[in-house]
Amino acid sequence: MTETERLLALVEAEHAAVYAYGVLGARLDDATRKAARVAVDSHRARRDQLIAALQAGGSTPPSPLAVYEVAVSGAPQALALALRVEEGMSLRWRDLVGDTRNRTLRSLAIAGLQETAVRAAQWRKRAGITPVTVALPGTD
Amino acid sequence: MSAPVSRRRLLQAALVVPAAAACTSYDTRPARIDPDVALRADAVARERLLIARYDAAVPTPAVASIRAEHEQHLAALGARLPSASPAPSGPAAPAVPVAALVSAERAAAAEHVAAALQASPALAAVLASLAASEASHPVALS
Repeated sequence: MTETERLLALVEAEHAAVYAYGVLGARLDDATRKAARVAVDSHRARRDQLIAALQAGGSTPPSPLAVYEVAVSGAPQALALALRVEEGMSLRWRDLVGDTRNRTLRSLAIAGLQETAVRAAQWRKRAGITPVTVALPGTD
Repeated sequence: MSAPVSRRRLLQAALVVPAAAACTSYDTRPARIDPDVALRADAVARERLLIARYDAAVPTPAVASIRAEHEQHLAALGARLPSASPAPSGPAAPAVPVAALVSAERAAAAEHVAAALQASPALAAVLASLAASEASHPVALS
């Protein structure tokens, strides 16, 4: 994939992440919901940086869909979805690291990969999943 | 890639070569050096140092699991642990506290990031994963 295709895919994924946190946040207890709010703010900020990078390169960023297929019936499913969102974003950020020689974009992608790996660890910990971390975030 | 070459050693080699070459009529243009070689060697050294710190920590399930991840990091860099060296004699050193493990992880993460910005895209992707893994380890230690 080209750098621009990676950026477009990342914006689409961040739109979906923001939506997913909106749905799953409602299923969490107060303390956990606070962590979800911090996470969604971070996803919005990264999405806006990605949109700015695309626009600077003359590309049109994709708009969010009205609805995403997200079903969350309770707190355990909400935690599982939050973990899936972060792991999915890690994959996309790491792909961008390997597909760009642009220093600014690479720096952004590394920061994105680190943040999503840290949040994935936090969600695993809250869900009681061990080990809490993985050796190579952003790989299958 | 068994013995890591330190950056200092590489610099010394670079200083020696032009002086020796100056005495001959050979081509004195410097050989092209792949920056990934030194970046990878430095990352291997960081991972080995981290493993040594975990070996000196109080063993817990989290410590064991993170130590195993650092061994996977070595493998991802194409390296492994050197064969066991003789245990140091003398009184046992006090165990490395968890707070020191956390600082060591954060420092290694920052160095992996700096290296990833200079590396080829393929090595950068590996170093970025290592940086992300080290950044997440304090979550497991706290």
